[in-house]
Amino acid sequence: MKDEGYRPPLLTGALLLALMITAPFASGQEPARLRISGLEKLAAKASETVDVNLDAPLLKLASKFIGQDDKSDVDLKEMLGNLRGIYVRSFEFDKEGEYSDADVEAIRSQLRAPGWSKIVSVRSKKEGENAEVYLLGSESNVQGLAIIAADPKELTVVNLVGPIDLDKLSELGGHMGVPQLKLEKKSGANPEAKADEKKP
Amino acid sequence: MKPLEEELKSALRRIEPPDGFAERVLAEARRGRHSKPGFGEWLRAALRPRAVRWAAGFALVCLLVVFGAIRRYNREQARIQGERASAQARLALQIASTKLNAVLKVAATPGRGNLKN
Repeated sequence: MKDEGYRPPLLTGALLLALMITAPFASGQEPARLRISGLEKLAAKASETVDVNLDAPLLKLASKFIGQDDKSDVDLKEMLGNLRGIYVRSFEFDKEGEYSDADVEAIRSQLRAPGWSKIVSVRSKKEGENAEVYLLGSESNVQGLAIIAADPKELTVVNLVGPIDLDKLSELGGHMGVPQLKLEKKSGANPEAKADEKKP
Repeated sequence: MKPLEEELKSALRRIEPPDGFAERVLAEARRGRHSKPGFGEWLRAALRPRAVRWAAGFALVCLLVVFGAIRRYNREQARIQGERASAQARLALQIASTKLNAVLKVAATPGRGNLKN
């Protein structure tokens, strides 16, 4: 008797491959979206935590509450209108060694997926600072951004999903009614930098 | 007595009904059995007592007040959620911008970073 359920291995392989390729799209998963929920366990050890999860509907709602009083607000509104997700986890610790390399590696491994490219990396063995910036897509058509900033007492992961104008994003720092964090001075050039961070 | 008998016989003689009489009677009976008062008629009848009219008016006003309150609550919730989302978006983009600028600045310093163009 002939086996009706038999399929040639080539066809089965092709079907499995097609399923693997289309699975992320079928489930509605954004390729630029990183899974950063694994970092939430660090919140218990952190002295300060920033946890932002804004998906497309919330961003649309948020953009309605941004005025158009000055250029930075207009830029911000435009940026929010284009983005499909903003996800930020930032933890500040009182002492060093509260997070492990494995915590960072869990994020970094996702950025080895096709499409992502690392545009900047900064490593300082002396000060223990590591920072990496990744883009999804080409520089003229950025569809996702990821920033991993790992200092001995601070870990920040930023994930922006959607078209991003890097120049406009760069200009936004310190122009949104919130003083600049001056994180670039934290490496020791300005001892007051940390205090500035906590000012409202 | 004979003329009276004759008169009675004549008056009580059997007369055949006109054509279609039975059908018309049955049709009328059927119509009467199935016809019901319309909604308007029913409503007018139901609201005839003054107390019922007052109660219905009061219920309508209550309903409008409840609907208005729910709508206002939903709008207020949307406003709170929107303002919170807006503040979070500002904070998140400010962190992103500051970190990006910090990394780019350090990377631009000779020997400190790896800037790929």
